[in-house]
Amino acid sequence: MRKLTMWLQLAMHSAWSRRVSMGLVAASIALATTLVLAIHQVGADARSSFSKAVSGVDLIVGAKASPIELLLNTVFQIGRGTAVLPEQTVERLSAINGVDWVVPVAMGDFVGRQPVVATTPAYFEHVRAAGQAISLAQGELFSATTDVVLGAVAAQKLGLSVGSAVTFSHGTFGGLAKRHDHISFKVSGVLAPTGAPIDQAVWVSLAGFQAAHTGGSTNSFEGLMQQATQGQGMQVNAWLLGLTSPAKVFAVRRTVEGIDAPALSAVMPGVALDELWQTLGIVEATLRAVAWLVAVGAGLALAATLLMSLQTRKREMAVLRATGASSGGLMVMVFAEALVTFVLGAAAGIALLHLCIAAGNEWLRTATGVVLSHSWVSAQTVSVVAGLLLIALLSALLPAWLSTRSSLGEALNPRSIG
Amino acid sequence: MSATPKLAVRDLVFGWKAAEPIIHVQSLHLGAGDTAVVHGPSGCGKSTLLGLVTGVLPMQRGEVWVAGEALHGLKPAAADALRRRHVGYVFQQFNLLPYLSAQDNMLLPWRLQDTQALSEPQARERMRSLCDAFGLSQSLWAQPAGNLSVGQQQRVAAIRALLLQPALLVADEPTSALDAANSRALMQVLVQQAKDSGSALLVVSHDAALLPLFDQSIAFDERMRAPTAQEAATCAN
Repeated sequence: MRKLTMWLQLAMHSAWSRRVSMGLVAASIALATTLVLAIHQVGADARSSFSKAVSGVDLIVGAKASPIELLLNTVFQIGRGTAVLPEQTVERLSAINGVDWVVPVAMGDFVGRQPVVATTPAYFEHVRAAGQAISLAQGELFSATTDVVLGAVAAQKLGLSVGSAVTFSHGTFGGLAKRHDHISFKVSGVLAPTGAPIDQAVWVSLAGFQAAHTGGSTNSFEGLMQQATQGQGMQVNAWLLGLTSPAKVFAVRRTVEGIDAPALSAVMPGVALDELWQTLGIVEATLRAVAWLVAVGAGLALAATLLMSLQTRKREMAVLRATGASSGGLMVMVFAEALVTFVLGAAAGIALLHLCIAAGNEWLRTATGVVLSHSWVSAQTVSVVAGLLLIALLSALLPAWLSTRSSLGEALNPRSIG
Repeated sequence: MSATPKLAVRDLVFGWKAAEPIIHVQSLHLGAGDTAVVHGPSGCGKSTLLGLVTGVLPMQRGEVWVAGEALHGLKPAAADALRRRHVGYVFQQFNLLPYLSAQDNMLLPWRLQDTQALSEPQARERMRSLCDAFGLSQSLWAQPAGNLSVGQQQRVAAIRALLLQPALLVADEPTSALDAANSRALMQVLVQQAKDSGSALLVVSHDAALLPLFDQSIAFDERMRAPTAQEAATCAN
């Protein structure tokens, strides 16, 4: 134990005397750690974010689009939005045998960076988020056209509470977005947090949503377009359907897809999610492979640096050898140096990851709907770091072995190195 | 002189290639306080001899006893241990770990020991008295070894090698980087301290002026070598 401590102290002194090159290696290890952890975490968090989404919905009906697009749009408020459909279609959907309830959703506006979802109060009655019923934390659901209800996260991010006034904008790019500021909404309630994407949204009645889009400036292109389409009445992006029995899902879907004006597609959320996993799975596996290759690269950089340092440390090894150092001691020194470099690098990498999460979480959520978790030590972090540690130790094997090989010969012919 | 020689060599043979032995020592005995200098032309294996008698290099044939313990036939790890117990080593130059202080360099053998015969205060006391003998000012102790002058570094190296009163002290041209006056002064103290420590001192030097300081002077070609004709021609230059 005393000797081990002594060897570790020697190793630290020695490594510190080469701190620039070892610092660079630690930096490459840090970057590799960040990359591997980030890819693992984004993958896992994507999964949990998506599977925490809405439940209780048997079918999502929208314009002809890919199932994944429709799902991302209606449930996660991600993407540009599928084509709009006339609101009256709801009557034909409700009439289908086996349909229990139909809830419309319309999207496209934002308050700040939070998406606006227009629907009916029935949404909060039927849809379940993260496996739980949606409930109000304060206030009440929208009753007037100018009422909005905020998701828990939206309320927090916008700094709004019951009674606050809000206006919508078309898009999230602050100054550039087309603002619908001719109509001011009032917050009537705030939802209890669920952890699902509904927390992020601002909820409004279909009528209010429509009002924001009409009656604006007729000088703008959009205003003219709005007036031209007013005759068609209200429009929505999709409907969420609940069935009387899950067994009827295929029959209902067939009927929905049989409607030809407008042409509709009906998506089972679970199936669409599976499809999403498959697509994501390939991407994720590729990214993981790349990340681990980068990690192996960092390991090789460690090995190369240690090997080069052995070259310049021949004298040091010879002195230690001549003073009676055992080859085991020299190996401990090399390993300790590799280990310390790795630990510093990995710690910096984990810190960097959390810095990135803190800085980029908001962007990632608005762009993809994935909310990254901030857990410092998860089982995953431990297993990833263990994997990286294994790479680092394997990388140190050759240098450690060579340190015992060369030092014997070098000590013997000292003048060749002086 | 103690009954057991500190260094005993019999019929030692070594060559970088087995077929071409460059060193052949019939017999060499050094008792406690004996001092010997090996001299001869450079490049002919004097340093190699030091490697052999300290177990750094594997000999091909023969016997080496250090403090009564057989060095021949030992596994490398056992040779390391024997070196830790009984040998002090001084190189021509670059003896120190530059990232340690002078003091930590001097105490290194004590730290490397398997079982510490001296307590830490005893080791420090021994270091202090050696520093006095070698004239190494206490103000230098905390200096990083890399900041010391060559002469100071060689004195630190000598103190380190003598710290544990080794049975065998070997020094490979320890003063060749110094000027004549400093060289002689350092060698004198080294010889005196080796005697006081009861160590056998084996020094390699090409400096003829230093030879009178030693009890024995061994000309390399006389007893050490069994040179090939070609090797002999090279060394004669």
